[in-house]
Amino acid sequence: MQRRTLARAITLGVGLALALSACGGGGGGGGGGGNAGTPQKGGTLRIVNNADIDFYDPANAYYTVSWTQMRLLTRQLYSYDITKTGDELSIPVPDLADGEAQSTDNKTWTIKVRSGIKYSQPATSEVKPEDFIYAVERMYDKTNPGSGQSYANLIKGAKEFGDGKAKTISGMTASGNTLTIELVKPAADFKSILTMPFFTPLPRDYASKYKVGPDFNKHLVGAGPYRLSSYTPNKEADFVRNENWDAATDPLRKAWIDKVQIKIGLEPEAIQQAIERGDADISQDTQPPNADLQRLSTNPDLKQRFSVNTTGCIRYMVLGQNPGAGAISKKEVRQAVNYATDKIAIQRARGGPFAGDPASTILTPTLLGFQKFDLYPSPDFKGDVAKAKQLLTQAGYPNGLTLTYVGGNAGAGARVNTAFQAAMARAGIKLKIKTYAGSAVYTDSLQLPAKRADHQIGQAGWCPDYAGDAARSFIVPLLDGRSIQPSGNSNYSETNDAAVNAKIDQALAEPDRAKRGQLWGEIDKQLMQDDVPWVPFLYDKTQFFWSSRFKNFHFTPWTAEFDPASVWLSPNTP
Amino acid sequence: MLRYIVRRLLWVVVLLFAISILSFMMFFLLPGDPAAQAVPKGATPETLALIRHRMGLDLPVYKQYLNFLHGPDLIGAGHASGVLNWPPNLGWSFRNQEPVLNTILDRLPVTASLTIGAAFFWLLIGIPIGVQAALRPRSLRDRAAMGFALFGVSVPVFLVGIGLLYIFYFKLGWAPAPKYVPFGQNPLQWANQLLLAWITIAVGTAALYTRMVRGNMLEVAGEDYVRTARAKGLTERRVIIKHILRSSLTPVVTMLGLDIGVLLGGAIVTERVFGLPGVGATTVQAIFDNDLPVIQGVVLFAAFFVVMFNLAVDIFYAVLDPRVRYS
Repeated sequence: MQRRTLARAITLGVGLALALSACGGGGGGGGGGGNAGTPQKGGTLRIVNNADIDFYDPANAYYTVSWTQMRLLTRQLYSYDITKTGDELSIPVPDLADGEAQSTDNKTWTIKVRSGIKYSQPATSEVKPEDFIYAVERMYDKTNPGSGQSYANLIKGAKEFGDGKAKTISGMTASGNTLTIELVKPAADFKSILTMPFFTPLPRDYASKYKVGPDFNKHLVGAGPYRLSSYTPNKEADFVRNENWDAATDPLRKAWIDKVQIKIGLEPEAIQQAIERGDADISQDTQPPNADLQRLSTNPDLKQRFSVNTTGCIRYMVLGQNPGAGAISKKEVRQAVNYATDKIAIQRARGGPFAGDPASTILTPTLLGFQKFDLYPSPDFKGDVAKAKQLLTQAGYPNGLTLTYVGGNAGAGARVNTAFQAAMARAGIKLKIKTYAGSAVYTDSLQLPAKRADHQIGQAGWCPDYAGDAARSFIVPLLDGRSIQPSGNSNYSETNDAAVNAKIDQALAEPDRAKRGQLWGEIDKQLMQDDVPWVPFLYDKTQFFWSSRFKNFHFTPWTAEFDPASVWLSPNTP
Repeated sequence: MLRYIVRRLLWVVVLLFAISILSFMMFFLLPGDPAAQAVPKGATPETLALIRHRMGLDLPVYKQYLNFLHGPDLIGAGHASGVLNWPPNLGWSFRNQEPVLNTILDRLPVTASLTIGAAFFWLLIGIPIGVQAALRPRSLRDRAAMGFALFGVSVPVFLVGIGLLYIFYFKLGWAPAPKYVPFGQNPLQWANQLLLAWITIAVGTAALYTRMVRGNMLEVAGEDYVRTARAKGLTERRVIIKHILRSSLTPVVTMLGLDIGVLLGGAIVTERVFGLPGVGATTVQAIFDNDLPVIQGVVLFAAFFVVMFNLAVDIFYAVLDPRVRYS
């Protein structure tokens, strides 16, 4: 998946500097300082962003910033409870659902929908189970297909509907206030999948007047505590209170603030100045400039308003596995590359410890199943050159070898190219580097298996789509051999291990959450030991800084952002 | 005169046509496939084909070019109706799915505000300093003026903008937080909000004008007719203003026309630094989004202004310099 998370310098799917894919966050979470005091109602939250969101249409929105805004404008059947901590935060709780989803086989899910919930104006109807069916249907729009189709395809009959072979989605039925969803195969993590805004209900009679995509952007209606009052792309967006929202029906959103103003198009330096002077409250997509990080993290006053958070995203080097990829397809060579990598040099190239921690696993610390291990250890993560050389000799390259490499052509991505090249040279591995602008490194190289000889090694990044139980959006597209496609392929390394594939099926069907986690952890270790498809090098981090009147900052791993629904503004602080 | 204008206007059409072809060529030279970026992960080749069709990427090149000129059929998804829309809509934004011209016209007031104010300031700064420098060549005043000119042309616009914001907004608090207020809403606030941005652009551009005015004045001052004017007993003030300065300003007008034309195409860096939602900022976003029709549209739009201001300058020449005749 290509949900954009970056802009916050982490990542970015489509468009900007280094594109990541599928995204989100997981586990962890955490609050910043300055949360003391009694919550106050009122005020206008002033958000300043560098760039616009992708869509306000839930079918198409696939960006951490838009999903964070959706938290205010819409509600889903299940969502996260920001008051929970640790692993509990990554377990979805009922939102529009009236109680837990019922299923005996993880294949057929019965969900009761809360009654009496109204959409924001100008829609007039109440949320009905049928509206969730309409939301899935909209994802199969021909001209602006929804980004969540791979999840919708889990529902029986959805793909046939999308292909025009059926007029309705046979696996979805509505009766009274009950929604029944039948899947093509068991999915124990389905409740987590339903938290994603793709599955936001929309009233058919109102929404069908607009085309899916940009046409609907200005007309979004939802059941959230706010409604979109104005939106000019790339300029600004304003939210006001949804008069139809009733706090008594919404256990997950406090909605202290009265209005939200989002201003788009400022540079990071100007954003930082505006927040520090109190003319803006926070940015969703822009981290404080690197030059300010040390000051913000040490100044006694400012550090109360500064937070560094693990996003759940991973940055890694892809190592080709297909025999057609040449020397890199030898396991010893891939192991040698792992040993030769200097992860501290790469971390420094990306901005130092604020950018993330050295990684050694495929799963990130915020995902269910994460276990800390390092199969290719070295002192202080700086690499073990002797071990690398020994493995290269075993592989038949005692004098080293040359490998092709692709990466970004600007910013931190380009700096990583250089740091990695220097580390490889220590072990006698020469890199033939080819760089690409923005997301072209994916669309023009990594996603095309036919170009495997050009990207024996490639710099990449990935984020899960939702928190915790999200290995489906991580290991499945990236490392399940059955995910390999001739174009638009996300299994860049072309890993196809029958034992791993079988275990993935087992994990996806495992009903017990703890056992599921254990299985994903085993898969992680198995991959790094038997297949060696990557050099994981950084568990990504992001930073937030907010104004002195901004209170109750809570980072949520669900969107790798702060939770805007719990923020309140101190009226006594300018 | 009329024949001259008509002939020049015809050339403008030819020139814009050539530029439209060149900017259209960029479409094929830029990396990345906009359709591949727009489809969901795991999309079937059929879905990709549909998106390519929606974007008009499956059409023959010449038809894509005509689409670009025609503007979109507002009923369809971006394909030309076959009827030339007038004015041309400059294509259909992949990202916002609206005519590119709408996007540009929506942003134009911001860019125009920025351009007009900046031009006022760079003339206000550049011409007097240039005149003062020329009046006392190699004096301290002249050296200071040239020092300013060197600084102005050397320092990056980005640095000036961020520096001004840091000092006058962040540290001193004299300037307001960056924000655009429409002229019609509050002219005073409009000017107050744009002041730092105007100065940011003016510093670099005024430096060029200073050097140009100084150089021209020194050259003209040595002309025979200036000596004659002095010999006739005209006051020094009159000699400078009426005879030296007037002649020296002719090339300045040419440059002013070009600079205004270029700026109306978008002051990319300044707009980004100050968060002004103008044509330049739109261009940056379009590049990030791989929204090629918008990029093409802005190029053509900017070219239009440059060409039109060139024409206006040529016509205005005669007013400043009676020796210029239209033929």
